[in-house]
Amino acid sequence: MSAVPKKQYAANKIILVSVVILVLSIFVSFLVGRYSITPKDVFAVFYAKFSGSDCRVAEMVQSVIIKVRMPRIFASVLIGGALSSAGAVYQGLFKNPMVSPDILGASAGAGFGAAIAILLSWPFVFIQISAFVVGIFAVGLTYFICKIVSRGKDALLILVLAGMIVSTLFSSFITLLKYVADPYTKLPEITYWLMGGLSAVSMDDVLMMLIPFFCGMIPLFFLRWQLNAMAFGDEEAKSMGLNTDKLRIVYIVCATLLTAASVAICGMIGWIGLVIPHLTRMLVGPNYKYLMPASFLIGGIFLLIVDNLARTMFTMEIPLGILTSIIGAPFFVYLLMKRRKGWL
Amino acid sequence: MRFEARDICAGYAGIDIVHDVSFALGSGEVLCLLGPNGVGKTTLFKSLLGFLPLHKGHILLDEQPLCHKDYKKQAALIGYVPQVHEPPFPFQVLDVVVMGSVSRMSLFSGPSRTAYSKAEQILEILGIAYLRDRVYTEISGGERQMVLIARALMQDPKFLMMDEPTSNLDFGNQMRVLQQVRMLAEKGMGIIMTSHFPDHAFLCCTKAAVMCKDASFKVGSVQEIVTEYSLYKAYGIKVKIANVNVNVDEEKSGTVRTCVPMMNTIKITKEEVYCRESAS
Repeated sequence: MSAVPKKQYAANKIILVSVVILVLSIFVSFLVGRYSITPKDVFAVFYAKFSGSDCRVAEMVQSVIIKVRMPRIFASVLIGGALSSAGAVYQGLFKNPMVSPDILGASAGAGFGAAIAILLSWPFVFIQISAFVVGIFAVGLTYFICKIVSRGKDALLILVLAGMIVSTLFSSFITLLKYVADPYTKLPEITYWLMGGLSAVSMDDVLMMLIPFFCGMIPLFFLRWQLNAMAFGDEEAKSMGLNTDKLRIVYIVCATLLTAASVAICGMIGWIGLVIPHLTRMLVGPNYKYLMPASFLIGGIFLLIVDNLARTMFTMEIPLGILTSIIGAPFFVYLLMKRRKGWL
Repeated sequence: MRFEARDICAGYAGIDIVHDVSFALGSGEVLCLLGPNGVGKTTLFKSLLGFLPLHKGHILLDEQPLCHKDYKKQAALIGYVPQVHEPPFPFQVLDVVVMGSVSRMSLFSGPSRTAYSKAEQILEILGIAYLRDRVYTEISGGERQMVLIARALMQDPKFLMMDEPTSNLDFGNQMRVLQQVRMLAEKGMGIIMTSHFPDHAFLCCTKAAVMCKDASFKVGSVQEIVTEYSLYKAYGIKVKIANVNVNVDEEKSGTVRTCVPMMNTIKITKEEVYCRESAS
């Protein structure tokens, strides 16, 4: 009898299949769009890029591939993966499958940060930085409120409630800013930003996101097995020898970094962090050893496909946040109907 | 090894719920903690495990003070078996058991193969090997309690703390859990458990302790502690302790102590029954 459960082989297989699907969809994403590009062009451009030789493909095709489509593709994979991983972590940490990455106020805070920057006509980079900083600040505020209110008792419940308070507060601030914003110039800009989208993403944005991305992802990846024990509750995890106070802070900081960095680049994109971990749990089971990497891969695939739809479905681009909700909501209902046992 | 609690006071936010509790427990001994609801059994448990800070007193292991901050070391000495509950996610039983070794696993690969085979051995010893591939949220309460015991054993602890291991279980499962407690004690495990049934102390424990509403805490051998007087004092129920001769077969026989609660009975005369019927 083998010592490792059979299910784990299935989980490994699903992860492998997800990698293949991700690579394929990345390749296909280069081809779809209003400007038609052939597979041969893509190979030629990347071959030239890596070997340093001259490229005989038209200048226009090169810039569409390198400057327009590549950053978008990378950004959507990174953001989809980051939001799904953060959602999976928060769900385990709060022992609740209904939790999404904006539970502690990261999204509302980041939205407010961006809205302020837009209102003050700061350059684009500062919109992102402001969103990121205020997003982190909002979660810090949540944690601070929890610390002074709970005094060590019912910490998790109060953390969630404090998150609701902070989220509501920053949402009101956003509404206030919209109210005072110039309705002809600033108001539409803020509104569009909040709806979420990747149309303005450049390669520099992607590179800038990589720093918080790796800072958040690497510790989560190494500490993912411990999340299994954390999902049984603080006291049990402690009795199994885990320093839960320290671990909880590490998980929250990392998941917040991922969420804030994502929101800072592409605005508020809902549903991914809630739906994808559910879908993944159905496929590979609740063991975080497989759930974390699988969530990342499937989240990346999901957002990449949704972004492709957003830019090709109609002549005008549909904001990403709207599309993820429109696709995510019925999809979630379908998942709930298909669930077999407990909470997926 | 010897687990000792010395003059412990503990509770929430500066208010003592547990007062001056002292007891000692050696390897192979089973202590049953009795007491009415809300008297502070759980509080005492939580403070012994370090979930609640002690307001006063010490916890000693072989005369060495136990440091609750060293989670890893504590996990290797004391295993905690919580009350049966339902976790939010459908983990596999084998994964739940392996979690007991979470503090010792490597950063990169999670639990090792040896951890998995050890988990299987423990399931085998507890007689629940058939559960290994089942889903924890789908098995029965008694099976879940066994899995939680297996998870605690995965830590190789010297002592086990079991918080009401028989609550929410049917009669058969209660006895199966208590039998397991006895077997573990015979292998040298020191066990502290809470229970709502004084009979459980007679069945599997070497020591007993009673906590009462007046904050008194008495500990001693089961014979000394589980008496008609102390049960009346703790629960406010009149009880008779009875010795019953049990003959399993011709060779096996013995006496079993049990406590029988004295119910108040009302005798109703025929006239009263008639009155009630005609009234309705």
